[in-house]
Amino acid sequence: MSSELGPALEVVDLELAYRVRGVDRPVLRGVSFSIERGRSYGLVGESGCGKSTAALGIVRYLPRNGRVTGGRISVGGVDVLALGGGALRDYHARTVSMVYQNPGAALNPSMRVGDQVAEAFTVLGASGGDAADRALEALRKVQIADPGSVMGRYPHQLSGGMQQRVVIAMALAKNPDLLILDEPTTGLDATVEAEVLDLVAQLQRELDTAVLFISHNLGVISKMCARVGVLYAGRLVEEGPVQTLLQDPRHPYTVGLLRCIPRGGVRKDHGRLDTIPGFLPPLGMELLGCVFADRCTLADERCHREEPPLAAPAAGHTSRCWYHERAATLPREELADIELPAVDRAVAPLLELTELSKVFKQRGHEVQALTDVTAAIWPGETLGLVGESGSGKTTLARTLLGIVAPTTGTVSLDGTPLPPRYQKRSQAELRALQIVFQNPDSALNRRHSVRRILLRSLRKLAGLTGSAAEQRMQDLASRVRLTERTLTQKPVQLSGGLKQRVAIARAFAGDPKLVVCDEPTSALDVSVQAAILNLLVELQSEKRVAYVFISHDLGVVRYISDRIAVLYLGRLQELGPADVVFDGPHHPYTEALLSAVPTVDGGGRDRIRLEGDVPSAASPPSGCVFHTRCPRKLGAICEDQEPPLIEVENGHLMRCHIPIDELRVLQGKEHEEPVTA
Amino acid sequence: MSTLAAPPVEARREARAARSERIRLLVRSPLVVFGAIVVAFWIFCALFPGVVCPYNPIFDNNFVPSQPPSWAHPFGTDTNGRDVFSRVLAGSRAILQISVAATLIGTVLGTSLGLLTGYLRGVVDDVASRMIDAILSLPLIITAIFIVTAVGNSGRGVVTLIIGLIFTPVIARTVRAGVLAESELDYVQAARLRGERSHYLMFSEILPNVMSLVVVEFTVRLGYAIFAIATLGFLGFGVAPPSPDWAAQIYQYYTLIDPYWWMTLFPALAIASLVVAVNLVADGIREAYER
Repeated sequence: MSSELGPALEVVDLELAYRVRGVDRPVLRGVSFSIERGRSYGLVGESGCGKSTAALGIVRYLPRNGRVTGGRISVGGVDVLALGGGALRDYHARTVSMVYQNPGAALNPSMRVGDQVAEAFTVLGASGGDAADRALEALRKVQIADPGSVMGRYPHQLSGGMQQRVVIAMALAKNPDLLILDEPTTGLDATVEAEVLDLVAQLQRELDTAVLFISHNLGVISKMCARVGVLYAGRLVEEGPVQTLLQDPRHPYTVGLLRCIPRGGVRKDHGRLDTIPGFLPPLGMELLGCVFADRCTLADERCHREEPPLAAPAAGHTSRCWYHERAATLPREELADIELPAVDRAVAPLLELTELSKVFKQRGHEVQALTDVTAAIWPGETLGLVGESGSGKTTLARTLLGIVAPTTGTVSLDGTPLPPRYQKRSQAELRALQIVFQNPDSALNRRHSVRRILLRSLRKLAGLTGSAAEQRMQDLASRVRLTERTLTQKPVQLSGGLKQRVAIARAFAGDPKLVVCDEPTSALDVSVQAAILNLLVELQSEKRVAYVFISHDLGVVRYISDRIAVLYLGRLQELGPADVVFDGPHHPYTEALLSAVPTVDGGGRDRIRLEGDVPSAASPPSGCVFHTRCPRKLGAICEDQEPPLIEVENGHLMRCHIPIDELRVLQGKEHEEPVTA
Repeated sequence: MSTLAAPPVEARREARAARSERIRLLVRSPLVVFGAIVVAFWIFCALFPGVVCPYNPIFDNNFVPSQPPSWAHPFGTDTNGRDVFSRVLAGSRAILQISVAATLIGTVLGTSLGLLTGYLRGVVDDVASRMIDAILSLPLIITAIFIVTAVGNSGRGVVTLIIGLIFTPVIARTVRAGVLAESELDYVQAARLRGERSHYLMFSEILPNVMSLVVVEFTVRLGYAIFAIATLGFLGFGVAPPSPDWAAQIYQYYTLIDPYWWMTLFPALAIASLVVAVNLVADGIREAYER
């Protein structure tokens, strides 16, 4: 039904509004872009910019209060907005497919995978047996190992990465003209994400489908897309070929976004992260001039008054900025470098973990969540915890906090063993170890005001009441930059970043010695993430607090950590100074993790593929637990003997049978000059 | 200087908007408004019977007995020569008192029990939950009759208490589910890690977050309570004649329904109007909270 001429998707001056309380609030403001057949196009922007709304508009799945108020959408030359009844159904059935962020929710939990995939073919008119055959073929095409047995399973029996493959198989069943992927890998581990992205790229080449790729992650976009559009407050502020746009951004928002991302080996002690001051304009606000003017440090009076025209700095590269030629010079906030005294490891460690093991009992099965983890954390140091989901990062953090008791082993604070459960710990011990959770929404009691939350923590952790507590609260609030007004508000009234600041202030109420940061920025947009990371570093320099920092974002971990611990199936695989672990030679698992991350810088790193999923912790592989997926497996020795965790260099521990010098050669590090002081 | 230093004025406005949105949702539904008006009318009658009743419902008994509805007596007169219209208007008092008191008892006890079992879990929860399941396996009204008979006293206080006790497990089960969900959230963990004691966790941290559930449960139970009390009254338990209670009137006159239908019909319609109205309001509240 599509003509061979013209683009696969053409969006022209699209205006879209949500009707809230009887008023139409514009969400998209004159968005125009097009995707050629067989090409991929990325849409980036922070949450609330209208990315998903644009996708829903294109597939005509807008919520009831949303409607297109202007402009045109055509897919394969067909005017999508004019479709009705049968034609619209046909459009959904044959022309366009969409893959959502959460594959678990996209699959019917009560239907076998095979039946669901076959259904996608039945809709197209295939008969029962034929549909089943084609379903099997489709699963094979998305590289599912043993598709026959997967057909008979239910979605919950598959891992997240497998589920997303199944969803993609269904989306491609109709060989669509346009495939829309809305944050398809956001909930997945970096290694799984890399596999899914590879798969999408490969299938796209084979099928010659146009792809609209929506993501907040510029790294993913730069890997997947030829062209990219940057959305801000419903307006496409900049558009162009990916490489041009990333290397020569011409809109202050793009410039700001790129500067927020910790990358290129920037570390907390010699570089503050840039942030984007201010807030996204609220939904449907009337905007006279440039949508970004309020947050732009380049903006002048004209920017607030007049909408900038579309400027074209180069062929195929457009920017909606009066001063696009100066965008790259966007003034930075002058943040003073932070004084971070070097961690003194000659003194006694603050926290020692000695041969910690944790076995969970699940319906008769024993699941070994942690095995013999020994590590120490010194005052004022950040230990980054890295590993795929199921590697034991969270269990380790919970064990040292006493939320779960270790099966064997001890946690010692300042040389004194702590009681295994927090209930038995003294108030002073509780105060010393605090936590900042991943999700600021659930971490704060939504019925309590910020003031109450902080005062209560001060009372319990610092023993302060009355005016002393009041004073400390003001102090604490100003330290994390909460204003007087925020104090009277309740969490629902705050943005995600502000909530996380409250959570941080709460953890710091009793001057803790160590704070566990469990993915504290993964629910936040990059500009907010940068501000939170800056805050954590400031607090560390002032208070000499130690952090255990868990994150799946390796750039963030590298930025903030002094040392990194890499966990796999509950075992410490590698532990060492951040730069050493990142620059290598590193454990083959670390190597694979690092190479899986799509970066904005691109880089010529050959990706190391990890085959399959993380084995079940209920029956870990024999020998080295990583041997089943290890790209550098030696042979029988890896299957039979668990390598010991040995110090391969000064302060660098690794659990691998391959000698460090050999790893250096294998990983191509032998020519690099050793870093000299 | 920081990106987040300014508090979002918008967020504040949004929160206020969310609250007014909830009220707007309630008011927008004509059924809810209708229910609220009917409930308000009966509450007014219960509070000021002297204002609304043309005659004294008990002591003005000098009319011609057993007269069908007429202009003078729109609902007719009963066998004792009293004005049925006045008695119906005055009859909301007892049932509203008992049902509100009983539902309050059930809500307070049920919320406490739900909070305890959901928070403590373990053996306490297992034992309590099995007992609750056992009680709930019988129809409530049968249990009520059984207890009233066993106690041998069917005064107002006893009926109030029994209905309250019977509602306790129902409400406990709902609240427990809410408490279980809340306990999983990180703010509870954070409170534990600063050394809060159980009662603070239960009453100051968790309870405020399940209050919306409690409010919804209260309104829904109120409808059931009115119905249950009317049923017991019809069987002769609870408020006794000569009180103008609706159920007592039906109990007294239902054998005379042919030919004196008005003595039974109007009190019955009154009960129906109150039960339906309370349920309409309850549905509205539940919808507004569950959005």
